[in-house]
Amino acid sequence: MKDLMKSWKVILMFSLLALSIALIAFNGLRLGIDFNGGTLFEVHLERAASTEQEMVDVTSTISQRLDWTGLKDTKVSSFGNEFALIEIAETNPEQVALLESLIKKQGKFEAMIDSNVMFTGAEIISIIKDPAKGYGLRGTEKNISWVLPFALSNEASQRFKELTFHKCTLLSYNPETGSDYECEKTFFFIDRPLTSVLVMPDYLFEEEKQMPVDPRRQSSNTISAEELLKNASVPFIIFDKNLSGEQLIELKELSENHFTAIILPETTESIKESLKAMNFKLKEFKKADDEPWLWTATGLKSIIFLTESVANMKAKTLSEAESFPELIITGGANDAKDAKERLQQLTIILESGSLPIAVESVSRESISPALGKEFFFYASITGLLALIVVALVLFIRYRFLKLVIPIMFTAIAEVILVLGLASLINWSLDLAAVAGIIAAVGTGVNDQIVIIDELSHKRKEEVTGSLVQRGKRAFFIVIAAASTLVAALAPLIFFGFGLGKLVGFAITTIAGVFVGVLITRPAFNEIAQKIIEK
Amino acid sequence: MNINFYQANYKPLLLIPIALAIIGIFLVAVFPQVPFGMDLTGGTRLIFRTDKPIDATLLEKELRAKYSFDELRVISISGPAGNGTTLEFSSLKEFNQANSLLSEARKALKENNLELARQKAIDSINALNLFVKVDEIPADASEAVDAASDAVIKAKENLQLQLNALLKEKFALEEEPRSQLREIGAILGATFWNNALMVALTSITLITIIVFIFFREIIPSLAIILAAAFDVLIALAFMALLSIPLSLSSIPALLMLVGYSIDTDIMLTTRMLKRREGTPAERSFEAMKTGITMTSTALAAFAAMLLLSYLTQMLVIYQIAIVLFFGLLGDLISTWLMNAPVLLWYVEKKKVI
Repeated sequence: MKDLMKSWKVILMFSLLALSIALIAFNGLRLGIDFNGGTLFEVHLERAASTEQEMVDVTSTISQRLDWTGLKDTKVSSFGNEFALIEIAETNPEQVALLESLIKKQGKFEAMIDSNVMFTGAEIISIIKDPAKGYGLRGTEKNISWVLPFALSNEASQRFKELTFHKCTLLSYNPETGSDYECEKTFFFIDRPLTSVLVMPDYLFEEEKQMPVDPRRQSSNTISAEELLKNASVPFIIFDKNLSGEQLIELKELSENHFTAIILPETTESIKESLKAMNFKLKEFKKADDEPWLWTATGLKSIIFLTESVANMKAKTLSEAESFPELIITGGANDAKDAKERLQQLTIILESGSLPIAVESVSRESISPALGKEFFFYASITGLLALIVVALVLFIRYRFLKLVIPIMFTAIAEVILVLGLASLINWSLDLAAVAGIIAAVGTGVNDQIVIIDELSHKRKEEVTGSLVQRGKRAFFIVIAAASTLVAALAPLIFFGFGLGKLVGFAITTIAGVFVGVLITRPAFNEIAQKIIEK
Repeated sequence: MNINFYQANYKPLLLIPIALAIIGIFLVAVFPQVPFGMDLTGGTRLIFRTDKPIDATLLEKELRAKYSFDELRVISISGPAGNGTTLEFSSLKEFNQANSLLSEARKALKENNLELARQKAIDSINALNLFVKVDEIPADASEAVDAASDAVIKAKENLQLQLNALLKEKFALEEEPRSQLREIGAILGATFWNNALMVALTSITLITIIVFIFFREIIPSLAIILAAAFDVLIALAFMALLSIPLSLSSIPALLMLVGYSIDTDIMLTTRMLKRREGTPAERSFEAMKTGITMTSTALAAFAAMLLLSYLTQMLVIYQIAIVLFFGLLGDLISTWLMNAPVLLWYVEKKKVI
């Protein structure tokens, strides 16, 4: 036993085994929706994306749109040039249906000023994504800004001119640097609630009385809740614990031409009941961590300041004012990455979140978290049971516990090594992966049987070749068998079989085979030689 | 087990795999054929795990009375690992109708035929009145089409909720059923199938190349590949007999079967061609002892997987295990009654005894 511990092959196996256990313990194992529960959407696009960038646009637009719903932990990826895959933790049929319609439909964009619509998404003729016309990043890393030009229809640019005329106030005048103005804000909405009324508790209103103009970034500029609500032109009711008599009367009047009440999910049942009694449909929005509730509830996406030039400050009267068929939005950023993100986000907003390629159909898979847990439990039991029956069969065949124990030890070592590898590359495990692990361990056991039989072959009769030579012959079989298995399954990975669904099966099996051939089999060979010699 | 049948006239042994292959081909190609699963044809599958057993026949009757499913299949399992029901259908008449009306509406909208577009959208919504109620259909045609598209999605949601409620009520369940829903569009199914064909073709080519590289002799290499093909045939024949569909999980399992079953053939061929001790008949008999141990451990493991995954409705594992289990049964025949006699014949002809 002592000289066995000196063999580098055995040492290698044990050290990697320790490493794997540490990885699993500290890095953990990622579980797929089979075990965690969740929903996977397979979005089939109307046509194949013609460039890589187009596919990136598809996935980032989908991510952005999901983000607008305040949904966390979504994973959007592309598959080939025709499919987008979306993985979310949600399984509630109602929420899943909502998401599906969100994926299929685009939103409605509106730019507002003083409660008036300046222009809508339909009135944006094009977003000029030509860097020659200014689209993109400008400046150096330290002082970077982004530029987004777009063109409006005639009617909209006329309206824009009228609504923005002289919407700046002079702050100071310096003969050298010129005038310093403060200009009005414009509000960009997606799916601004129409015929809806906001019903919110006073503590929340208090909390959001003053909000930064860009909630996701540090900024000294703020806006008040009133100003926001005025621009969204949504009526609102602020209640303290319960709706007052006056508020009920007001709501009753509003219910004539407003059909939806927007509320927090934690609103009390009694309020919900009274709203329902007035024939309001309830729409619940959670409060997101990184955005004021009022932004989510009104669909506000961005606040953009006018500049003195578009506000025609130099023109004296409206008739002298210039109209701009092409407008430019610019902004600063912390660094190039930030600038790129802001530009991309705003582009998606102006495009109303419309996908560059339409969605042809959506397929999906949903597993409830309770079922996922159950699957995880039974998949583990299945693996364990498979090990036990294999041990039994081996014992029946060899009737020699000293041989069966190392085989089973190696099998378990292989499972741990494959799981360690999965943890290292952050591969998420699912039912197919479990089947792959069991199958890989099965081939491992096969190989060990070959090694044992090859080594102990005709022990009683004349021996041809030393133990080492026969070990080599066994290895020819092991390598040939492993190569064919890899050849059989590798195409599943190349072609991303089943939109990647069965790739886990191939990966874990192939990983298992490699772990076996490179690590555990050489070590087992050494161990088996010692046992056979005795 | 200690009678070495390879020492007698082994050639007639070949008749067994030949006869089985003919039966296999008949089962796979003529009757009853291997069914295509909904993974490849499109459809919906719901799996429910419940606290009380579900009577599949009763449920199926109930469902047929209430809805017009196409190709509905209901299977129930009750056992020590709990109760489960699998419900599969290719489509629902109302959904089909609503979907085709919706695409007509979209087409009309594109052609700027607004009135027709709105009318088709309304028809589409009305086709779903069993599942979804829409109070007000927008006057604007494109909004009406959007509303119709939402209605289709909402209807699917409501169907799922209705099925849940029906199960709970009919079978007096106390707990909410744990569920899995898989919905595959026809186009996606077709994509999967094309994908599968590419994968299979590449696999077969690679395996053939690898086997030839390792053995560099035509007849032994061909014998190995033929044995693997026989195993796949047997697995497919059992799939046809037990109506296990060709699916996203069973196709990779068939490939894995090839890789797995070749182990014993490689071991046999190596011992026959690269060893010199004993007679060829003795060598093949020794190889058989090793090989049967190998295959039986695998069979035992897959039998355990098969049983547990069947009881607990782990469909992916079940379909993989069933293919490997029956395929390896076939491997016992193909390796020891086909590959071994062929090799013995080859070795004797070459007179390298």
